[in-house]
Amino acid sequence: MFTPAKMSEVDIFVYDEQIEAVAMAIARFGALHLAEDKALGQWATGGSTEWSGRASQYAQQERRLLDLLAQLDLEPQAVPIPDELDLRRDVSRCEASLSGIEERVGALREQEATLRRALERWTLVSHSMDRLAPLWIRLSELRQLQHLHLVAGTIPTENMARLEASLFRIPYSLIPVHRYGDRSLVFAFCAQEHAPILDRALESAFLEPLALPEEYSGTAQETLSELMVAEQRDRGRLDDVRADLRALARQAGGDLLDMLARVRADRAVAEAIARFGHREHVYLIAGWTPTDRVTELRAAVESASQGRATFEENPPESFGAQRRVPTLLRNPGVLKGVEGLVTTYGLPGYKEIDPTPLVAVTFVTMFGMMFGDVGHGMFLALVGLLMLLKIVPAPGKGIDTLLLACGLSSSVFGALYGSLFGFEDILPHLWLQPMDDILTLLLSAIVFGVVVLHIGYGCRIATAVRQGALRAAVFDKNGLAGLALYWTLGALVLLPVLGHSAPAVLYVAALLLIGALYLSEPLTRLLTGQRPLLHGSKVEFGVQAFFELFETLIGYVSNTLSYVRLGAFAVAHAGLSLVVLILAQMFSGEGGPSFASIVVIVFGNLAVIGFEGLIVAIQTLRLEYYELFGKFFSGEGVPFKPLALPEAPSA
Amino acid sequence: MALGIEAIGYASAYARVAGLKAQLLAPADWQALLTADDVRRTLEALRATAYGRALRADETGEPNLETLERRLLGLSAQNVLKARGQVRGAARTLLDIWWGHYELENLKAIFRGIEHGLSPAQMRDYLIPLGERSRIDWEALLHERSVPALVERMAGTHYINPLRNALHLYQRHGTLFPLEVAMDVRYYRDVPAAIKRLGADERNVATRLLGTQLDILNILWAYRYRVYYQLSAEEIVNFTIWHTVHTDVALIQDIATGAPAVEIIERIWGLGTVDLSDVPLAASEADQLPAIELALRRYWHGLARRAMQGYPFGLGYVLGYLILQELEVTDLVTVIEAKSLGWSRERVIRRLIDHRAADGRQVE
Repeated sequence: MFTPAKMSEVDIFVYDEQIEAVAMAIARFGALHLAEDKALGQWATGGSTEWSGRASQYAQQERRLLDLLAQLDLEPQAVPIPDELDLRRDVSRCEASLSGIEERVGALREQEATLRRALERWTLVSHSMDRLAPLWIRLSELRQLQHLHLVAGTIPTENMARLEASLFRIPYSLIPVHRYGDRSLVFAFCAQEHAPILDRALESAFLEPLALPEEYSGTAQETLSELMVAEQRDRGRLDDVRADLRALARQAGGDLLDMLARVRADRAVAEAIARFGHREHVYLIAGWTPTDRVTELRAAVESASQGRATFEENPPESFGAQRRVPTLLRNPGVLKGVEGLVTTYGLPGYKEIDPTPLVAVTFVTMFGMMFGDVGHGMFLALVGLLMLLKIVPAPGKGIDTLLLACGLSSSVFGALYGSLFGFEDILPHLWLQPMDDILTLLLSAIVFGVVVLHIGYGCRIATAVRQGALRAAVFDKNGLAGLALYWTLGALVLLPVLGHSAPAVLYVAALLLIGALYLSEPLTRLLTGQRPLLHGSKVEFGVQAFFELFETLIGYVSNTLSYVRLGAFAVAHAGLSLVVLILAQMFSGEGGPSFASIVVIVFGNLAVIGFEGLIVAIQTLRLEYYELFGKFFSGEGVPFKPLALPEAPSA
Repeated sequence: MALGIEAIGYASAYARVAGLKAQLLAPADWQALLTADDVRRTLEALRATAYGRALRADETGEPNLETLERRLLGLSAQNVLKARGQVRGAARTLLDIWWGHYELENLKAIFRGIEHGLSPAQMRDYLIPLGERSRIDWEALLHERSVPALVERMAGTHYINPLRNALHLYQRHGTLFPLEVAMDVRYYRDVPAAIKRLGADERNVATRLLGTQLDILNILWAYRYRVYYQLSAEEIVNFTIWHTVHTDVALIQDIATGAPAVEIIERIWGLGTVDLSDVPLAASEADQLPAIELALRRYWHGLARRAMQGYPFGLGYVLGYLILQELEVTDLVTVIEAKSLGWSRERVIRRLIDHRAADGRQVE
């Protein structure tokens, strides 16, 4: 739990004819992180175009399947991956079925689009007829105009001005009839002799002509009634087509989801095989797996290859710094929320400490200390519990347990402070009341901060031990010298405050340690056998080291005092609650609390929980990330991403 | 001209672009290219320059010029991104939009490929490599089977409405021309809008550099429509940009009704500003147009060169480099094509944009 899972590097040599079975077995096993290409050495040039091509085909099928699901208004849902996958033949098997469904969907969608266009046309023609209605002219006569050329149609509204500019050579009339969306229905007129010019101008302005319906020859008003009948007929047909689409969705939906699961699984394995090393007739699968699962993986490979694959296991130490071992954190489910906080900052390297359990304790404690109130804490805990029971959706993984823990911690501190929804006269305080004993609270916060800082130093040293770089940690500002100087300076400050004199040896120690930190780079290089002791000029080193030392010394003070905020926010929390009570009292009558004052208390507390809760969470995170992580955590780990079959299809 | 805080903001951009500028071809590189006996030797000379990484290892004989040009433009696109990373605010938005013209070229290539029934693998060669910056799903577009389906695939981009508006013309006449015009006009509307959002100094220099590009494009489009495609005046007005810095509807109407190109150029930029000495005034308009296009590009090249010689801590230095680099790619393609046709050195030089001595680069 305090360190990433121990990893082993495995090299699996597989004959060509067994590669699919073995790759599938590894994908189902789901715990082998493939090594990067440069780890394959000469095997990396073996060529993988066959499998890349296959993966590309599966990717295309996946896209088409997702398209079809979208066209049928179907949500991709989790479907079990078929047991038997045939990487070579699934693409053609799926193709027949997929093409068939595509054709049927395509035909229905085309009918739908045609009917929609027809309905749109009826609407536009109706508007045209509306405009022509006062004229009492028959449509048959309009089609046979001798001196005027009339064009009706829809044009992008943004092209209207340009259209008018393009008609600079002829007299014309352009009448906007109706606007819908970004298009306008227009009537355009000109003299018959200028018809070609008008037509070219309209076409180049992207006008879509709206022919006066040939089947209607009466007046505009007569045509309108007939149009209504046509519109209703087409609307009915459109409803039928949509019903057919829904029926097709019900009928084919299951097959599409099954195909999608199959195709995604095939694609994942094909892409993985394309990355394997290959020479002559043998594949090399190189990667990392947790050491405690090597036996299981070996058994799966041997079963899939019928004992013909060669399986080699190597410890990560055999590769030195050339290969980056992936990091797999194994924390219990209850710590997943905290693990999320850690990985937001960064993923621990393989040789680093996993600070998740430490953060779980410190985060929850610090949050509780700043948010101490039994009522507010129980409210948060209740919300967390509702999320855990899936009654309320959780905004992220692990948030439920984190809220529950922080809520309970806040309740504990609330009991220590004697605060219940801001009321401090209902429960007796088991420790102190923040507003009445600010100094004790602030000093306690600092003491807590010192403990946390020591945890940070401890983690730094532990990390150095794991990395085999203890010598490098001796003179590090967060290592042994830094810790010793912190103690020394702390003693030099505290002893006089407590009424004792500081012994001379402490001053000497402080000076020596300051000197050691100042010269940390050359001293470290001396200890670790590196030469030269200094890079660059001595002056440059001197100036840089001075400022680094200055920053370190300032950091001791700032890092320690930073934890004062634990007490300060506890006081602020109590203060805000007091404000709510004062406001509520203003609405109270002489006979006791009124309805208005109860409303103020309820909403005021909700506001405090929301507002303060957010601020306290941010402050706690800041303390974790900057004061604690800054001591030892680089967060440059490579995430463990095993080859695995996809869990569920997604759009 | 950026001063004070703005100048500090351009310091890193200047440093980055100065480094990129060093990769532009030196006089010795041009000599090697122009004096190469054949295409193979020209490619060898090109391989020794910063453009060498656009060449494939097996590309030694007659290259496919179109695909080679795409790969060279891929380097130009990368340079725009490198410069973009060093500027902020409205300047960065402008570079983002300018980078979009590479996507536009790719879209046109895919439309043409689908129209001609090319396979996705074949079409891929004609795409300018844009890396992960582009948000368009190129693989999905390459696998579309028809132009209408490709148009619908553009949903979510700002090209969808213009393409839908023009689709019926494509279906009626069977030519991609209306679709390409619709995309061009839509894209080049964004550039002036982005220029308007710049601060005063930046706006002036962007107007001078990119605004001139739009002027040149609009004029050339109008003349090509009239001279090569014999489109009518009303079509010419509708198929050009509404207005740019120096062109407006009245000017386009004049071009559409037969105003000579030389007169239009002098009207816009004044007598003698654009060097038209190589334009054969006695020849037909169709024969004049290539020379006019070259003259205008040389003028634009000169503006970019002067922008790089001026105050370095400003947008002009960045835009100037990007323009020069892209025009250098055009010249490279000209040289390679000319070598494949067996042209003499002098004949090639006459066709180059950057043909004269500049910055001590003695090409002749």
